Amino acid sequence: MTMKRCLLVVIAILLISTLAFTGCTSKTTAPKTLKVGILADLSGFLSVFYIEATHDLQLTADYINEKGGVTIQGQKYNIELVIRDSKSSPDGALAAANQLIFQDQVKYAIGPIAFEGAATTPLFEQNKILHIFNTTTTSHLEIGPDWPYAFTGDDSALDFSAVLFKIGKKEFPNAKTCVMILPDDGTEPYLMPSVTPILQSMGYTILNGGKAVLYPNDMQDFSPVVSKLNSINPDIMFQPEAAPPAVYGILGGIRASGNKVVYIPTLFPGDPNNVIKAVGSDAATNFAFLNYTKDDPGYGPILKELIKRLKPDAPFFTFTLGNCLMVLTNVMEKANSLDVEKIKAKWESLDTIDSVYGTGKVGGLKTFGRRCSVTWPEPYNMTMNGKIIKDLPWIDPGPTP
Amino acid sequence: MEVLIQTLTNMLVLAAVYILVSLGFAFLFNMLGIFNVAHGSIYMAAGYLAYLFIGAIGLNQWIGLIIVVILFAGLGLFLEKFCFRPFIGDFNRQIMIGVAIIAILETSVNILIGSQMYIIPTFVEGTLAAGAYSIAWDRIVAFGLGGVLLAIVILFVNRSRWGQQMQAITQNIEGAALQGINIHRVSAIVSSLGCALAAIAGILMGSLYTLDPFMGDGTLVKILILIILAGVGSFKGVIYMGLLLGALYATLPLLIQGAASDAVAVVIILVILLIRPQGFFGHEVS
Repeated sequence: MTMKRCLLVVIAILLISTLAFTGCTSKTTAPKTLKVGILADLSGFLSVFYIEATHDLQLTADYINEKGGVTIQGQKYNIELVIRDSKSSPDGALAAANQLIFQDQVKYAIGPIAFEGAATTPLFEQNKILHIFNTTTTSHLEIGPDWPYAFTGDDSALDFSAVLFKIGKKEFPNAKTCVMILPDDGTEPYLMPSVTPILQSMGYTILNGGKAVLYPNDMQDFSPVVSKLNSINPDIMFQPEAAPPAVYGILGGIRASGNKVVYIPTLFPGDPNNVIKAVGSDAATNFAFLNYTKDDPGYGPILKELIKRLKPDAPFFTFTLGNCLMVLTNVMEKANSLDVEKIKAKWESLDTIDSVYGTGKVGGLKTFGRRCSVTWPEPYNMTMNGKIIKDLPWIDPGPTP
Repeated sequence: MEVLIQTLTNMLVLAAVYILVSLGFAFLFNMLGIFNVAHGSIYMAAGYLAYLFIGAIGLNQWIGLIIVVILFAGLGLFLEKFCFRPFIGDFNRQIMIGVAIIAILETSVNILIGSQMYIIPTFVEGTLAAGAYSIAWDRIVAFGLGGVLLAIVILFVNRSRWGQQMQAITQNIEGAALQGINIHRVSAIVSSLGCALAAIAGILMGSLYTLDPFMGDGTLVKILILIILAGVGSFKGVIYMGLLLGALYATLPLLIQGAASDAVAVVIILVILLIRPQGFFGHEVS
């Protein structure tokens, strides 16, 4: 009997130990869920961009999960995107941010787009949510020394400006006078003081009294803007925040008036072939623009892989949100923590961060009062005399000053 | 001097654009008293459908335009029978049905064609140069077409049998019926022509500017301003107010930066309405 009892005790101990041991390992092997909030304009005028951006973001999240997800202290996490519609407006973004924080209980958020950020930043900051802009106007209402949890995960208007200026110097070195063109979305008072010394150091004289030429965000007919630009008569025009209607309206209008001034905007989303369709081959000259094409040889391996996964009929692609997501997950892994304070501190201590676009440079101390931004080189194309010039060497803006 | 001439040209072309986009709305409002808030969406949907025929399928622009105009004239018949006729005289319900049409059209376009921005290939390429000045041919076409269509509408309303029947209905619908005028047939023609005019405007604007799913919303505001300033029942007012709006939106951006120019234009319009709330050329409506 005693032997039997001893044997039973031993078996019981073995069973309990096995259960306990299995419990421990399954705690670290089964992936958990990591929720990331997304503010995307799925309705309203910005939906033309953000619906595709959200598809591409999901591709990025799936890619990260396939590669094993995010590993923090030995525990794997699969990303779950919690997407809320900002409705292309600050009040829509604020309502969506409220839902993310109080209903969905996220600790990290990507978005909203620039001018909506002034509404959401105070709310995110009060609740210590680490939030990453995919684009910012550089306004201190959105990001700056007073907002310790705000970061940027893609090039800002300032960084795009630096790229455009470098393109101007490289491709059109004889241009001496310039003007900046901007939508009237509140960017100008913050951007112009930052870009003016850069332009002057590059030898440009800024016309129009040093001010940008502004137009209403919803302008359809750009002929008054074209008249104004003709009256200013610069050698070169830069436009770091530009949607296709504005670009085609200004380019078509200024060429129709007989002016061959150099014009260098960003053109997202866009296709170089659409430039010629929109303005005609006669107008498509002296034109260089930041733009992503599907077959640019300069893409890194991650971006190439993600482009392969696009739907064949996708009209354009933009991994701007996906890039922010990968920046966030990479910093989390470097911090080896999900704690917002530790992730924040790690980000600000890094010099480079890898992501969809490749290796980005951390900066922003002078512009934002904190090292909270990351920048990447940008591809550009040109049209000269109706012909598209592609596959040009990418331009690096350098880290945000 | 160059800026002055460019501004004058811009003013005339903008005026023609506003007149063109407002004509369909004015036609329905002046003839049947229907406040069609879905006019902007009809104009947008026509532009996208034209893109489908011209840009995606590859039809000739003018053939594509004719096909879309015919289709939207047919849409006008449908809308008159099922959406406008039951609610003539009921302003609140007209607004509600208009909002429903907006939602259906915008969502349908987004689902069937997509929410991307497209461009309809220009109808006439090139520019007309006169000395140091030049203007794109497609803007001249828009200007010319706006003027021609306005003249046709005015002549049609004032000189044709159908136009006189429409005026009779506007003045006294019961009296017109007692005179043997087929109210429903005339209303159907008005609605059909109104939607056809909206389609022409949408297609031309899609080639002058860019097609986007929300282009109708912003345009509707300018249309309403123009119609209210012109006054109920007046097509002549549409000409003068088109010129006024063209002048405001061509000159103010030169003087005032950015979005403030739009705000100043609206303030000027508000002041005009305070002085003359019935508009310049119309009659008061109870």
